[in-house]
This record gives sequence, C-alpha cells and structure tokens, in this order.
Amino acid sequence: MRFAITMLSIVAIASIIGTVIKQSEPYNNYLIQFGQFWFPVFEQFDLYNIYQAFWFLIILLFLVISTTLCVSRNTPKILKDIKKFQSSLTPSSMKKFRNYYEFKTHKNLEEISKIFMRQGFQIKKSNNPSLVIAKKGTLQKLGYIFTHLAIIVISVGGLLDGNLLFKIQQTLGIKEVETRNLKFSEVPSKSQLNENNFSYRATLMLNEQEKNDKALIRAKDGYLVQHLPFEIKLDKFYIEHYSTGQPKSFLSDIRIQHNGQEFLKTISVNKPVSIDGVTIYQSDFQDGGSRLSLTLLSLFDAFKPIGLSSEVYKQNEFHSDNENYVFEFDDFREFNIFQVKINNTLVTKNIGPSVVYKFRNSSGQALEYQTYQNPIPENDKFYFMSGMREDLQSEFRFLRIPADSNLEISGYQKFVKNLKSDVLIKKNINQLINKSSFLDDEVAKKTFQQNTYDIFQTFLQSGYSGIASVIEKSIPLENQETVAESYIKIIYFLAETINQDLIKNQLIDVSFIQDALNAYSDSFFYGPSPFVILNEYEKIYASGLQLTKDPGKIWVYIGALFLVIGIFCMIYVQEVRVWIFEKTKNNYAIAFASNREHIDFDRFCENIVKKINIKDKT
Amino acid sequence: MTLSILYIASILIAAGYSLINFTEFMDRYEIGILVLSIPSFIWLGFFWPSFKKLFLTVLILLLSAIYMFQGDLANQQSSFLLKYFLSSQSLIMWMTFFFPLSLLTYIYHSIKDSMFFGKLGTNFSWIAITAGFSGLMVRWYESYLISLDVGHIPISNLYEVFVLFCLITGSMYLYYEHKSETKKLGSFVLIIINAAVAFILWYTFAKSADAIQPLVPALQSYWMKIHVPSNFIGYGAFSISAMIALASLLRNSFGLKKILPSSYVMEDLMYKSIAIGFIFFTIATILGAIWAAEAWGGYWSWDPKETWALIVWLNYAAWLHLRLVKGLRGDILAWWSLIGLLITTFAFIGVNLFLSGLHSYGEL
Repeated sequence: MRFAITMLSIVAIASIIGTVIKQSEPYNNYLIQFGQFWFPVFEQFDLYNIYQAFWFLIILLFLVISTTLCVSRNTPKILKDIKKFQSSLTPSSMKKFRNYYEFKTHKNLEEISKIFMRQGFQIKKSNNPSLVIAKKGTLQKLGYIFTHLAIIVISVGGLLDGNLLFKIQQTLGIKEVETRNLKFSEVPSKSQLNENNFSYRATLMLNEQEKNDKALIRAKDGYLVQHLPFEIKLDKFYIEHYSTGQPKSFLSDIRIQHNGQEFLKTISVNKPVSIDGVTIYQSDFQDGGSRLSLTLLSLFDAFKPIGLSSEVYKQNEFHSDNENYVFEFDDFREFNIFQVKINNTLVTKNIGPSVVYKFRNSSGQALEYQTYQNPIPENDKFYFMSGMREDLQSEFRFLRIPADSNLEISGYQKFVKNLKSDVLIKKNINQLINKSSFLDDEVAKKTFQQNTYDIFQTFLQSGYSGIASVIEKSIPLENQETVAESYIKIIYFLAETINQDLIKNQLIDVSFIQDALNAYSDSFFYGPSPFVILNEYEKIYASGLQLTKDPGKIWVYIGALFLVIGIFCMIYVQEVRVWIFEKTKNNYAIAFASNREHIDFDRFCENIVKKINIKDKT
Repeated sequence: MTLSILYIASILIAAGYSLINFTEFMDRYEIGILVLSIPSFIWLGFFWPSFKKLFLTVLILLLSAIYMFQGDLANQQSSFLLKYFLSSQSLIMWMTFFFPLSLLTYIYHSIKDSMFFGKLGTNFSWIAITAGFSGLMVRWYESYLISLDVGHIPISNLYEVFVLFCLITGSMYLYYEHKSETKKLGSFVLIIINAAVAFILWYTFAKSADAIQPLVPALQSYWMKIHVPSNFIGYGAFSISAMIALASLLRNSFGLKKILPSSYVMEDLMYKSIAIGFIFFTIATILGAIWAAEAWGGYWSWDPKETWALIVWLNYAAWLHLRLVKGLRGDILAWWSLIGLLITTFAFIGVNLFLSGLHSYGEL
C-alpha cells in the first residue's frame, strides 16, 4: 500500500513536470530554453519525452504489479466477507453502537424480521433463538475489487499501446531512432518498423495526388518509419467554411489499397476511418506546393514589373542592385480570416489569399514577408498590405499601400512616378512661388525654390525620417516642431499638385495623397524585397493524417467501466449490519452498524425503528 | 401533483416535438442523448422536487424569448423585453446581478440570524440560476438564428462554461441547502460563485468575450454535450466542498461557532459533494478519453489538460480513500479539500492560461 502510494506520487509529480516542460519539441528548442548546462541533465532523465521515458513506464509497471498482488491477496477475503454474516454480539457490546435502540412492541421477532426483509435485508437466525442478524449492501465491498481491477486493466491496456516493446528493442540495440533527414526509402532497417508492429501512433503528410505506404513515428529527437498494412493516396483535401469564413471542417478524400481492394473514404476531424485495425484521422494540413504566378514591383524604381512563376517550397533567384537574392516561398494561404473595420463595426471576414516567403541575401540573412493578394478594407478605404519581419519571434510590420478607385495598385505606381518626375516637381514649385504673394524679391524666391526642392528631394530619397534628421541637424530645438509642420505641409501640397491629373481622372481622391505619402515613406523600412503581386494561383494542399493502432483501447474502456461501477459501489452502496435481540418477551434491543456512518445513516436507522412502531429512543 | 403532471407532460412534449421536427439536424448519438434525457430529467424532477419549478420557469422564459425573436436576431435591438430581459446576454447579466445580491443577504442572515434574510438569499439564488439557465437556453437558440450551421450548445468556450459553472454550483448548493436545512453555508459557497461572476463580467466588458462564435472543427461532436457538463458537475461539487471546508476551518475561530452548523453536518456535506463530484469527474474524464480517441487519434495523449485532470482525480481519490478506508475525519480533510480547490482551479483555468496543448479552446 505504502509502496503503491509512493509510486503514484512519483507518477503525479512526473506528470506535472511533463505539463510544465512542453513535450516532444525539437531538441534545439530545449537547448535554447535551458542552456548548455541543464539541457543534457534534463535529457538524461528524458524530461522532454517524460511519458515515454523508460523509468516512467517501469514505475507504471510496478504499480500494476503491486496492485495485482494487493487485489489477489484481498479478493478471497472480501468474497468470503460478502457471504459471511457477522458473528453474534452480546447484548452489552451492542450498546456501544452509535445507533442502538431499545423498545417494547407487541410484534414478535418473525414480524420484525419481515420488516427488515422488505427493506432489502438478508436475514439469518443464529443459534440463539432470541437473536436475529440482518445485513444489506455487501456489494459495497465489491467496489474495492472493481476499482483496483480497473486500475490494473486500464494500466495494462495503456502499456499495450505504449512503446515499451520498442524501448526494450532499443535498449537491446535491435532498433534505433533515426535523427538524420532522409527519404523514407533511405532510412536503415534498424529504424524501420514492420506492419506487424503491435501498436503505434504515426503521422503521414501527403500532398494531393501523392501516395505512400509508410508513415512516420516521432520519437525523441528523431523518428522511425512505420510500414502500413495498406497504401493511402490523397485525392483531395478541402476546407468547408462558415459564412463568416471561419473553418467549419477539414476533410480528406483518400483512396486505400488493401489486399488488392480499393476503398474510397472521406475522413474529417471527429470522423476517422478504420481499416485492418488501423484508424486514420484527419489531424493536420499544410500547403502541398501551390503554384503561384507573381508580378514583382520595385517600390522605388521605374516600375518595370517582372513576372515570376514559382511554387511553395521552391526557391527563385532574384538579381537587384548588384546583389543576388533568393525568394524562398514557404506558404500560401487561400483563406485569411480577419476582423476588419467596416463602417466602424468589426466584421469577421475572409480577406483572401496571402503568400509567405523569405527574401535571403547572398550572405544568408533573410527577411520574412507576408503579402495579401486583395486590398483589405478599412472603413471606406482599401489598402494593399504586406508585412515584413526580421525574425520569427517578432510581429509583422505592415506596409499599407492605398488602392486606387479601381481597387488596383497602379494608382500608387502612377503617383510615385509623378512624384519622381523632376520636370513636374520644378514646374509645381514655380507655380507655388508665383502664387505666394509674400515672396517679393527674386533672391528670396530663388532661396525658397532651392529649399523647397531640397526638402522634396530629401523626402524622395529617404522619406519622413530623412526630413526628421535634416531638421534635427539644422534647426534649433525650439523651432523644430513648427518647421517640421511646414515641411510636411509643403510635401503634401506638392504631392497633391503634382498628381492633379490623377485626381482629375478620378483615379485617386485627395485622401489618397496622405496614405500614399505614408506608404512611400514606410517603404524605406520594407527591406530590399520588391512588392509581390499575386496574379493567379493553383492551390495544392497537403493533408496530415494520423494512423493509430491501439489494441489496448478496448481494455482501457473495459477498465473505465469497472472504475465507474467500483466507485459507485464504494460510495453509494451502504453496507449495513443489524442485530435484533429479544431480551425478554416483547422487549427488544437493536444495534445498527455500518462502516460509513453519517447523517443519512442515522436517519435510515431511525426510519426503520419508526416502522417497527417504537416511540421511545433510549 | 398538478406540477408533476405539467412537468412530465412538458418534457414529453418538448422532446417529442424535437424528435419529430429536428431529427435531420441531429446524428443518431444526439438522438440517443435526447431520448435518454427524457427519463433522466423526469428522475431529476422527483429526486429534487424544486427542479420541476426551475425547469418549467426556464421553459416559459425560453418559449417567450423564441416567440419575441420571431426568427430574427435583429429583434433583440428593437424589442424592449428582449433587449432588457429575455435575450441571452441580458438574462446572463441578470444572473450576475442576483448572485452578488444573494451573497450579501446570506451574509446578513448569518450575522443577524435573520430568517427573513436567509429566505431572501435563497430566493435571490433561485432567481439567479433561473435567469442563468434561461440565458444559456436562449443563447442556444440565438446561435441557430445566426446561421443554422453555427448553431451549437453554449458550452464551447470559456465564457459559456463559466456561466455553466455558476449555474451548476448554485443548483447543487441549493439542493444541499434544502436537504441539510441550514442556510448558513450560503455566505461561503456564494463566494466562489461570485468569483466566477466577477470573471464573467470582466471577460464580457474588458474582452467582449460574450459573442457567439462558430465551433471549431474539433468541437463539433455530440461528445461535447456530455463531456463538458459532467466535468462541470465535478468542478462545481469540488468547489462547494472546498468552501464548506473553509467554513469548518474558520468555525473554531472568530466566534463563528454560533453562526455555523455543527462540524458533523459540515463534514457530511463535504463528503457528499466530493463523492458526487468524484463520480462525475471520473465519468467526464472517461468520456473525454473516448472523445479524444475519436478526434485526436488517441484516448490519452498526456495533453496538459488531461494530465491535470488525472492529478485532480488522484487528489480526490486520495481524499475519499482517507475518509472511507482509513476513517479519517476533521481538519486535515478540510485543508485537503481546500488545497484540492487550488488544484482543480489550475486544471480548470490555469492550464488554459499558462500551458498550451490540445485543449486550447478558452484562451484569455
């Protein structure tokens, strides 16, 4: 008993550790998290896969053995106890019971026994003709057997489905975990498990139209290859959506070849399919190499768009500014569910596809980008959005390019082209000067013209931050704010007059100007990647399947049933024993005993005594 | 007698109506659950007679709400009754109004020993759970008004289960109050309910978490209808026992002896609520395992929620073992059940807050 409790406590503590340390992560993450010193120490104790650790399984095994011994020792005793009536008591020892009554009644012992029988008691007459013994609820004792048997059966079922067998094979050197990144066919047989493997939980990622008869079991810092008794081909993976765009279900149409027969099945979350003892679940999905047709726009140059055809997981070289870059396409999402603000209310909406890629320079450094295909609504305006981040831990910072009135990006392109036209800049500065009445002499005009031109060029070359650093350098602190304001006004004014043609053609409106200037200024922080426009795509999914073989499951369920029965017996079946002693004719003493005495039991006894028609309790 | 006939008749009519009209929206397991709920509810009505009144009142409020909505969620804004009384959100807000009121009156009752305030406390609690249960039922209906495929039982996120927690704990307490003939424990049990009420209010106003969201694919299963409520009967019962434990630990100090019922009564209640909680928690964990086998491909994945459920289970198994087999009584068990509440609370919300895993449906 003490041993079992110690073992249980260790299991509980180990379980808690397992919830605090995230299990089965890539080992590199642990190295970062715990550092050089603790990482190997924790590894020694298998803390990263605690529930599969050898010592953990051994403790469970000990628990099963000790409980088995306990049950086998106690069961005969208990069964005997259930059959047996308690031995006689002397009238004086009866008095010690909490529920002891003495009374006088005209009923005889036979009639009183009948009252007890009607309450479900079994009656036994003893050798002593004036003593009757009654008992009820002996099934309570079965509760002990059932609960303990349940623990054994559940643990055995769990151990059957655990990987104890593999652990033993691994210890003996017959099998080992593969840690290299290999194709299934290249994995050595030491890391392959044949289809007769007793139990497993394996995963298989299949692209659409791809097939395989092997799956992957993740183990520690590596994996094993599990041969399946059949071959699975993924015909199609698809997502059903609610009207708001949130996913309603994930489904895979699969084709299974098994012993020369073909089965067509659709699986989805909560609706797995079983074949030959192996259950196939929908557990994951990712991109399976979608085909993308893109246009690359430089944010600053003459907007000579470059076409690019690629696929997710493919890399494309890109040459710009005497530097070689590589596009690494990581993901393509057909649906993006966002909370967007329309008419000042938040609406959950699918805003369409996005592409995720890394843009790597020749020295190997990469920035990550996520670009949305469609302009995203924000109140009554629309913006083309693309996020950039330096590392995976930080949030995306978004570049928001305003869409023109046709909801296209070309308005912005034309805007920037105008902005960069030296002829237009000079022409508009001159117009500005001519309109300004306060500039009366030519020298002042010349200076203003030059200054304005310089400010605008600074903006074109380095955005608002360039203007800010010019102001910080050349303007005394107390005037900086006013000067900044007037500079911004000048830039805005020029940008507006320069783009009069676009406004007249109603390609853009006045509110576009400020957004476009902000976008232009922000693009200096966007990094070297061109702006990626997604023209067309063909979405190809990969579906993540899980394949489970768990022959122990049925035993776990049987054990669970035992557990419920056992707990019910222990808690809600009340074991009662009663001694009825006729002291002298029509004078009785009754003692009630139960191993669970509480308020309800007192009431129960009182009720029976009332039934025998007694008033005075002694 | 008339009440019983009315009660049984309305259960039969409601279930029959659903079975005739709505079977196309249910799978065979859900039909099974519906059919089995008929005798279960009838039994519950006789096991706990006050439940009949609760059931009928909730039914009337629900039917009135359905009538007022007239199949259009927008009526919630235009109809006065819906906006302030019968829409799920306002019913739940009424619940959050009456539970604190009930606590205050219970405290006044305990201090002044005023029978009138005791009764008032009980009645306020009854109003709170009536409003709350009606709120959940109306919410269930509202979810179908959003869209037929969005419709689902409102026990799918942290907001909804907190309401469920208040209701189950409140109902169980009212049952024990009736059985044990003392209202003195109300000022303790209502503390934990009001802690949950405070959370609901914060969650509603600071996080706008009260909106009905469609179910993620993993939760679309009939198992949710039985797994979640049985779990919350467990949580509720464990909370009640912990609050009674707190009362019995305080009993011997601060001169509370006169105010509180005897240790014998309180120990008995503590045991009863842990016993019923333990049975339901066991069943809930088993149902959860069967569901997990169907949804995640394994009946036990050592997911943090599963693991903490096991720890909660071991904790109360030990408690019951000590009381039933070793015959232990007194302060140790009270302390134990109080600490048990910490473990239970961690399993209930701590896991969602601090640990990530498969059960991440209710994140803050």
